[in-house]
Amino acid sequence: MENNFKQEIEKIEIPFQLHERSKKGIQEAKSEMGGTVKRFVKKRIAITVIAACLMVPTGAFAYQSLLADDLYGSFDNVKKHIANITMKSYLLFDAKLSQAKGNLGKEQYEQFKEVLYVITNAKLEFGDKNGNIDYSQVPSENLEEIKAALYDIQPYFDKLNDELSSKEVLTAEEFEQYIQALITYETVMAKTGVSSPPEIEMVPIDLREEFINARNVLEYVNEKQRVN
Amino acid sequence: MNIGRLVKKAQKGNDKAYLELFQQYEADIYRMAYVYVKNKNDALDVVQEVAYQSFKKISTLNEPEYFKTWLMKITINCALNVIDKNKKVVQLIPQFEVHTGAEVEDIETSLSLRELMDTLHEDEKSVILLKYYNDRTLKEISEILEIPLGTAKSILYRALNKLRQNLKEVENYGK
Repeated sequence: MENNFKQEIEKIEIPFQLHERSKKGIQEAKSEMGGTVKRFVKKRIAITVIAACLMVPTGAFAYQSLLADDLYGSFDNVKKHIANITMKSYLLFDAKLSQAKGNLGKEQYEQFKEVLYVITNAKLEFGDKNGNIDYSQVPSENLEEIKAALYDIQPYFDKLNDELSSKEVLTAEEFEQYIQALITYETVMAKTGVSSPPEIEMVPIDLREEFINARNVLEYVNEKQRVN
Repeated sequence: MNIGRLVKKAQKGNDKAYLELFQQYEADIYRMAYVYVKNKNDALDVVQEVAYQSFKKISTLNEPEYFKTWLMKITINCALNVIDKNKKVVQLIPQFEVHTGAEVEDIETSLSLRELMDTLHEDEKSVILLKYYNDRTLKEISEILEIPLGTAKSILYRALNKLRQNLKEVENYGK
């Protein structure tokens, strides 16, 4: 008789509203707890993604002396490829570059610029109107090159973001996952057609799982960089 | 992602992580609740309440490996609260309304599930559910329900006897 219990209880049918109700309970609690933690995490993800995706800058740019021009040619050139770029983000990008120049030392900066060049080029060539690349559409020989650049550049970004180097706090395998997650994240953003990290509801259903996995990896890395 | 990591994230206020975690148990919670409250709507209320309470209190959970145990405990308490509340409400409802048989229509219940729900007292349901649905030992059950081990044992035997008795009666009736 006892063995029968489990089977009997399994006969209780699960109503379709079940998941919705779980969610409702959690959201209710969440709203009473205040959203500070979440916002913090979200902001950090945005930073990572922006840094990684590299700053698709926008901008109007009138000053030929901008460092960003070295990479992109000119704002007009960027604007031709990446429609949603704004002057503000272009200038932000330029500011990051100036900071990099100051922080990295001449030789490091040269290396940084070289790697960055690969990425900015890829943005112009393969990015959508927001500058996000759908990596699944990139020819394999280009893909290899971009990937390699992402590996090399991430430690520089960490440094510019005043973070511990992700390459150092992660194991080799985790770092690999991290870069892969950044690629997936950007691909989902490109496929979703958004310019900033989307809410999960906005992501097409078939992409949600990989998106959540990628996001979890990014959160994990963020945490790691903070805790260590 | 493993449970320990999700618990840690949830403790930092990450509701998405908590939802991912909670989802893994929502069916169990629903079914347990159903055995107590015997209808879909109340059982869903219990699930929502458990989600609410557990996320609010998640920071107090020291050992993530006890997460499920902890959830089951909250589930039982919430279900008992709903029953208490309903008892108070039922007194205000005229008799004929109680006998609409609404709870029976909710689900095609087999005899033994129905038996389990109708024959047993709440504390007996708790012991039976923890023992046979959640595979807990008597010692764990006594800890979860905060009762002495001896009491847990006697409740279990009492419950099993009731069910056997019932079964016999049904069999005799069938002959």
